[in-house]
Amino acid sequence: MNSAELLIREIKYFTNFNNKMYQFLLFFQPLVFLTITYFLGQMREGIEVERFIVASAIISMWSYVLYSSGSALVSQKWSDTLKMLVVAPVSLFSVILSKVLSNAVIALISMVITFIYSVVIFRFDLHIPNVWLFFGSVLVLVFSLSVIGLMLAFIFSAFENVFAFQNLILTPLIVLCGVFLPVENFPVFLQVIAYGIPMTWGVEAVYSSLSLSSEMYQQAGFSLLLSGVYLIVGLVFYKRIEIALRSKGNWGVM
Amino acid sequence: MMGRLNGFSYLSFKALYSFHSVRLFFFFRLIDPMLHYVFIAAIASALVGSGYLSYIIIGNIAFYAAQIMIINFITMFRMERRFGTLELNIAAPMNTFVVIFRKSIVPLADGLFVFLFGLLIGQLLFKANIPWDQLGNLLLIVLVVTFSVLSLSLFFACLSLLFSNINLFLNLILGGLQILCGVHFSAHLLPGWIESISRILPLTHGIEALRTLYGLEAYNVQSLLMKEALIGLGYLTVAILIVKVMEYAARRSGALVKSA
Repeated sequence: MNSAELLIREIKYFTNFNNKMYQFLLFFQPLVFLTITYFLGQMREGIEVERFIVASAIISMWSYVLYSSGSALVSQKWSDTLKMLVVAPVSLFSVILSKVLSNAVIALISMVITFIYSVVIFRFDLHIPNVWLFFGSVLVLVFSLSVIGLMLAFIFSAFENVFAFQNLILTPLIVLCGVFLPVENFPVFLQVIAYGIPMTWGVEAVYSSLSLSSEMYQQAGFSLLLSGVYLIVGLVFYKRIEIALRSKGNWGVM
Repeated sequence: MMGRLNGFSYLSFKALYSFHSVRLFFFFRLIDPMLHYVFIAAIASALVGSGYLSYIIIGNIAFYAAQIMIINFITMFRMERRFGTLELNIAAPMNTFVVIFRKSIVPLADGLFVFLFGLLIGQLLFKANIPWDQLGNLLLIVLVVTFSVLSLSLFFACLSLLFSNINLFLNLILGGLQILCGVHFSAHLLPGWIESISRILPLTHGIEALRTLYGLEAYNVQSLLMKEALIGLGYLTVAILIVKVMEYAARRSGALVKSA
């Protein structure tokens, strides 16, 4: 099966109306956040609407990646296909990477849905000054989300109650990565943590593309660089999982 | 009698809840609400400025407690159905509603704890200072809101039996309540017909009463509390009727609505 075919299958699975949880994340959650943004916007004049529409979209994208990619490895155990993956003629890393990449592409759909809702339902004046620049920065963000998804899949394989623990990092990472408040406003130790996450640089690049700031290239570069480092670390981790699974037949709670 | 009640509730708690350890309790009842309030504070600060912080945090403290109770109740019904004990409740030689009431004690205590802890966090982290001179009224509001939300939770838990997968149902309820009950913004901002819906939901009047006590809005607290209590009573009555209808249907068909 080639990558395009896998992506189409994943899109079909996650956007299927029988898949109740992802239905909410993709189609209804953007509505909830946009409604809150709309009414909060009525409390004060002159808010920067584009920024908050993009913030709503990033929340949806992040939630989707967290829940879908975060359980990518442990769900193989639940469906009893992990042992098949371990003996398959491709590495576990390649399988999970292809899954998290396709999940990040589906997350992109949630951004498009958020934009459609914001224009069609809420009549927000969504003005993106340079669409190609914006799209480029979003692709960088999507890549950083994929890499985080890859790491989360590894981390959450150590938890029995995956979804409950995923809830614990859902909102802190949104705050920490500067989706609403600039990271420079945080205490130094939080800034250090935030700038160690590729998503932070990706988010900053997206916002810079909205204001046509030249800093966008630098931020996108840092995001790609950090994502590359995480990817290499991920490769090492997944090799170790594979070795552990082959030698002992288990890995953590898996 | 008291021992039987305690034993019943304790067994129900041990069977249905994942909070069996202090560590998990710490994560999900102390850390998680705090993170939720920080997230909301970030949205409010970025969108409308820090002057609005107390207003939105107070709404969210009540909402988070409601969320805990709704999730608890729906999970309780779902787990009962999954483990096949829902039928035993119906078949027990005791009024079904008494059985449910006894099982409600733990979700009620859980919601109350989260509510009161939330008010403390509001004071410590977000300068939403507890009006200590109005402590009696504050506790009364907390109790009335908890009662009305408990009734709504029971109503939703009964409705959840109509769905084989309740994830979407639960998320839609929680998303809908955030918008309709004036959790983040005043319910008066909603268009007329949507505000009419919000006025027949628990939480809307309770949040307004709470904000009034904190000096963030200016309404008649007694009138709001009366409405909140009446709405709670209304949902409780409907929930009792649904339980009775379910019990009747279960006895006739030998099945409880949709199987999980």
